[in-house]
Amino acid sequence: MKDKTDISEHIEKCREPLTRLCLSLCGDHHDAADLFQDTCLRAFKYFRNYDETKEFDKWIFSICVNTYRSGLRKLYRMKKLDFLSAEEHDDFFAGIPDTGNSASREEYKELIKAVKKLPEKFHIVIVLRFFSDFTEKDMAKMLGIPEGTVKSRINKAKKLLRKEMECDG
Amino acid sequence: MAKKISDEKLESMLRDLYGTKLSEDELFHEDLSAEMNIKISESSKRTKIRILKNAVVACAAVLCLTVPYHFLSGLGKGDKVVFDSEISDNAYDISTDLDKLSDLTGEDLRSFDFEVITLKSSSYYRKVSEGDSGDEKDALRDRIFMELGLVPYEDTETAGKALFIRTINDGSRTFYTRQAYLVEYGRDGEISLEASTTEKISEEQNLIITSSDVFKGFDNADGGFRNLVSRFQRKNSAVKFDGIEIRKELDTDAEQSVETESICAVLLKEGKLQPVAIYSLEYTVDGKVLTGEELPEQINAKYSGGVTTYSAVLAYDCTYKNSLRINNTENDGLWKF
Repeated sequence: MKDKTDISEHIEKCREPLTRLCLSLCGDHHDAADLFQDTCLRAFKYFRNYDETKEFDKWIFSICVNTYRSGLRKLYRMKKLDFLSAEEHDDFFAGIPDTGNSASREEYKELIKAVKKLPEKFHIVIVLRFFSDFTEKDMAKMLGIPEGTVKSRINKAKKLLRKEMECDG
Repeated sequence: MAKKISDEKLESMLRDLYGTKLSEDELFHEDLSAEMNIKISESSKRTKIRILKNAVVACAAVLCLTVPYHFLSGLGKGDKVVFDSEISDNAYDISTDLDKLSDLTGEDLRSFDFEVITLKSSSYYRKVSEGDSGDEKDALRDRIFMELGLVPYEDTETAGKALFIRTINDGSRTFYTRQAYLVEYGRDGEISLEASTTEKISEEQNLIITSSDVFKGFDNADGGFRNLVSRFQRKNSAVKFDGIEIRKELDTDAEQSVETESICAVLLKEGKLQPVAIYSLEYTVDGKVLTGEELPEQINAKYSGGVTTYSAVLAYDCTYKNSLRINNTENDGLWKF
């Protein structure tokens, strides 16, 4: 039987990307913390089903995405990338290297605005694609959709983002 | 002049936005393992309680079988009856959503009860419908979708959507009605209306649904439609309707198939269930249904003469794993989306 200390070690190793994935999906620190905890709780509960020949991070990221999706009506789905204060906004941007000059910062603001308008199915593929450079195959597996659908959603999402940003600009 | 954003630039910005590593200070640092252990132990306790609760409910259900009037009161109207224990403990406050839904539909839905069912991807539902294990709540959703005919399984993208089904509670049980709305949640939490059934439950119908007396007419040969459906699903018993044998008993010990006069649709008319279409089917022991003739996807009921008071066709659709499908007769038997 798998030891629960194993999963703690596994989670510890992917704490950073998992936190980032939660933040990317929720866009709010508190909601992301809830999602992080829910994800870990599920991982703990279903750890016995984890196939150790597979990568742990992909397994827990799948749990995270599914937890997020099934938490549709929970608060962390309601406030995506909304900032409660200027400080929160700045904190979020502090992690982006290219926001030192104001023009670039404006562009990121436009991007975030555009991301916020994306329908959920496009938002998720964009987050997964750019959060960790997942392959389309990985993403298809995580989301339970065909690879071709992932590909077309990424393209469509980028098109929508560009359109929105170009209109705004 | 509108600026152009190149694909490379967009990708680079997205990678910055989502791919930039977080500093140690930004990580979540709760002692998860301790908390997890407590939560899991609580959740396991809850599961045990639920199993016990379900056992009690199952016993209650058996007792209910001996009291047909009460047992039939909901299904006779074409609505799904479930015990409260089957319904998710939905702590989410839907009042804001109902405000919005009322605006979108032009109906005042605020005072009604709804069960909100969060939908996942269509592949998930396919999986469940193929008989893979799903939790109790998912199985319930699965049945509701099939019975309402609201969500085609194979090609509907359901992720990010929710089904609002109006429910009526008579104090002891909750009835799922056919009044349902499919909504999509936007990124801002706002909802948009994707589809709805055309069925509206009037105050009068509401009273009918909650009054078991109205359904006394169902006290016929086999105790009503619910019993009929239930017996259809049990292959080893004959099925009669108003004293007419519509399916013979299958001998489950033998390789046997039986030609039957299967009822495939009944009409709820003036408080009585009446057959409107009878199809000859062949049942085999393993449950497969072979038909001598092509079964229609939908069965449309036409009724002329007298006062038409029917409200629904309850179609026993053998093509969907012996499920009961409830069709709306007002739109050629099809739900409108």
